[in-house]
Amino acid sequence: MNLALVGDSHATAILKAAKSSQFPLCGGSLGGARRFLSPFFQDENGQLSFVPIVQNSYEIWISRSGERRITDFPNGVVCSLGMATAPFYGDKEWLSWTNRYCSEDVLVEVTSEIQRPVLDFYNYLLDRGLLRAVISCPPPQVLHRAVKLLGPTTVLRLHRIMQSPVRRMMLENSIPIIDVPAEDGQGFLRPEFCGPDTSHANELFGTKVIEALKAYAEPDHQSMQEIVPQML
Amino acid sequence: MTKHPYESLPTQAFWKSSVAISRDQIKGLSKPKFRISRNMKIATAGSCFAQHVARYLRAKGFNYLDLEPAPRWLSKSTRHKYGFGLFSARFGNIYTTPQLRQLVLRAFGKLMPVEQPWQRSNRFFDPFRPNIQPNGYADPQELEKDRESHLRSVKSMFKSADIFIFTLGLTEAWRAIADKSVFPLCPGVNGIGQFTNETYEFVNYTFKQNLSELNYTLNFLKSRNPKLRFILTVSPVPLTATASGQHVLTATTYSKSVLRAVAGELSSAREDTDYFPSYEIITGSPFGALFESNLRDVAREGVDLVMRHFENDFCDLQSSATHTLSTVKDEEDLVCEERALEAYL
Repeated sequence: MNLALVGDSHATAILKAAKSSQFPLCGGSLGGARRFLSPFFQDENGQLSFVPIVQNSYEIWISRSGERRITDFPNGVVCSLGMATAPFYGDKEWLSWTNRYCSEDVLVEVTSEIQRPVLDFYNYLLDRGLLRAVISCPPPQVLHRAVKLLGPTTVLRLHRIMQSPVRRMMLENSIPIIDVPAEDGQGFLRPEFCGPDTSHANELFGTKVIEALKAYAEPDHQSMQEIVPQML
Repeated sequence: MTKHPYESLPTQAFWKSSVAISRDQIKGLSKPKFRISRNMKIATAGSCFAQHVARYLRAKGFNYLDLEPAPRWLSKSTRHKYGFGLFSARFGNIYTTPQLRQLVLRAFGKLMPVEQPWQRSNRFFDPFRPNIQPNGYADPQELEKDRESHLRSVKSMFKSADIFIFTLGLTEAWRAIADKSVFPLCPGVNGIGQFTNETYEFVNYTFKQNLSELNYTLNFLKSRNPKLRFILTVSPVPLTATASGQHVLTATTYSKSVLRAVAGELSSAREDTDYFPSYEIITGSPFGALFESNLRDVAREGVDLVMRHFENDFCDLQSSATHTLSTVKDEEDLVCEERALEAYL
């Protein structure tokens, strides 16, 4: 297995799909997205480790990956950290903003601060040439209670701005972002992709991610081509 | 021997016994008509110095109103950069009495200035709070959304407050010739907006004008919130620069004298209004040098002294055992638009 996924809870649907389609993807989730909103990793003497709660998940991640660590994948990893937005738009903080407007610049400051630990982690991977692609998590579901409480426009806006620091960084570093076209006309996750709850997608969404990963193996996608042909 | 009124005056009426003593023994500078208790809702506005009052009240656990709190994830420095938490709403510094009247009338939908957003490059700035968004807004529509939201909060603030503390800062201002709208900053400063003599004019509000503006505003607020009471203070912070043609020192003295007299007049005339002498404490010779080396910023020691007097004279702190003045941390810089003028030295 040459490709590893470093993800949050959205990794489950992707790994299921990988297994169903016999796509050799290992790794998986390091925990729910909330774990990555505060500093969660450290590099001591070249050894990557995590805060205890994430480290527990990482031990499982290692065993799923044939006892290899994130740094043991010479061809790198694909990662979805920082792209899950439900904990952000679903935060009760926004209930106090229903009658107020939060400017774009203020939101950018907010998400830059929230995403700092994730951006630090991406910098860590980039510095070591380990990051191959970022996988975007599914867009919000229209049935998520935040949509009723805050309105569709606000939820979609918070989703967009929450992802923007990671997207900006990937753009600056020429790292591809895998966006599965799964939105309806408004921008919400289409019903056929909805998972077991109002935050997660299902295996069909995961299948689309795997298809996109395979597509990156096409000749015009050099960076992924280095990895994927050996797996197919 | 003939009896005369001075024989029965209290100690505080005499300089020798109440001022020419140790600084720490000077007390009773104010005789407030009311005291502030913990359950009262307090709102503040004014010039830079008013930010100290806000911080003190918050740190002391008073019921300090903040109608526009920052998103909880923002760091303190970023909050202040965007005008969160400096006052009871994000209006930035309100230096002059016309600026306050304008804010109040706009919040209650009684005034619609014609001034269009100011620009710097392709970004748009609110002329009435040009520093609230350091990089401006992407377009005038976003500015308008934020402004509407802000003015709703300001209205709620004035309708719900029990006490409004206003720190008078300046008599000088720049205003639009078209409709006399007043701005906290001269257009063009920091590259925001474009100054022309045909569009804007300088004004140095007189005692009469300030008195009329502030009295009108207090009456208006009272008509919307009959329980509201006012505490007026005068900022001891000197002018950064004057456009009056005078020396900045004499311009400062004029400005502060006018404002001090207006505050005195209104606190004497109005049952609902008190005066707190922060200006006297910082600038009065009995208290010693309480400015930083630039002779403009008030030293921490001075702020502490002012707030100690405020606490003693105005605050009912019976239930404040857990809050002492020493717990008030005030290490962040004040946010002061007027300071931008220093760049033009």
